[in-house]
Amino acid sequence: MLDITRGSNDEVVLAGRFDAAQVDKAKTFFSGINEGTTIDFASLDYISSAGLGILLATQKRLSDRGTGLRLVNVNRHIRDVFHFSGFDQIFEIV
Amino acid sequence: MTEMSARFRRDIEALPEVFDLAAQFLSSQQLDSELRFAVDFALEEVFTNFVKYNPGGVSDIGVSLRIEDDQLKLVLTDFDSPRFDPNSDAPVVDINKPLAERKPGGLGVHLVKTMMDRVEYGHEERTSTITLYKRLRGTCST
Repeated sequence: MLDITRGSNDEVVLAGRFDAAQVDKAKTFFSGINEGTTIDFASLDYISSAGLGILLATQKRLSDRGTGLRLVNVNRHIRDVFHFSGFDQIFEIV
Repeated sequence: MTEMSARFRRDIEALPEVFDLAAQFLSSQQLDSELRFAVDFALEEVFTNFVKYNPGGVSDIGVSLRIEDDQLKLVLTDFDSPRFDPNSDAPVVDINKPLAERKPGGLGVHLVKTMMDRVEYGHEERTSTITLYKRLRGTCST
């Protein structure tokens, strides 16, 4: 299960598991992001290539507008996945 | 029990049940929870590829987890599928490409190969079997 909410500073807060079964819900939400946005991963336990694909599509779209996603509080496992994907070179990870 | 197996309906919505089987097995073997991310990741990528790239398939998908020679062995079986060897037929992914040149596709197989120690593929009488190995040395919690 994946929960997507807005935090107190308008950051996007992801919680749970971002797997292929969550793609429709996530696609709908992320397609509505049109400006530079912070994504808080503190409560996200898991991500698969399905989730990575949505983040990549969003980052490409925002990049065309000169902005992008900023990812914070990324756990070690997910940080490894970003590294193995080369995504640590195309996302700002704090 | 050093093996657990089940068949799952050919549906992405069955993923939580696949994850439940993996969690039960890892817990029954007292395996370190550190393994869970990689195991779930590998099972999901192979399972979803079976579903997505064999849209005409009607059979269930088999999943088994077992311990064999200090290795965790994951076996996924599609009982009615064309041949697709992830070791030779998957697109090559260049992880150093800049954002503008990145395209979706192939990343899941690349990551499974990175996170697992070995990936084997078999195809016989329209049955595809993907076997994934992960060494267990130093991962037991006891």
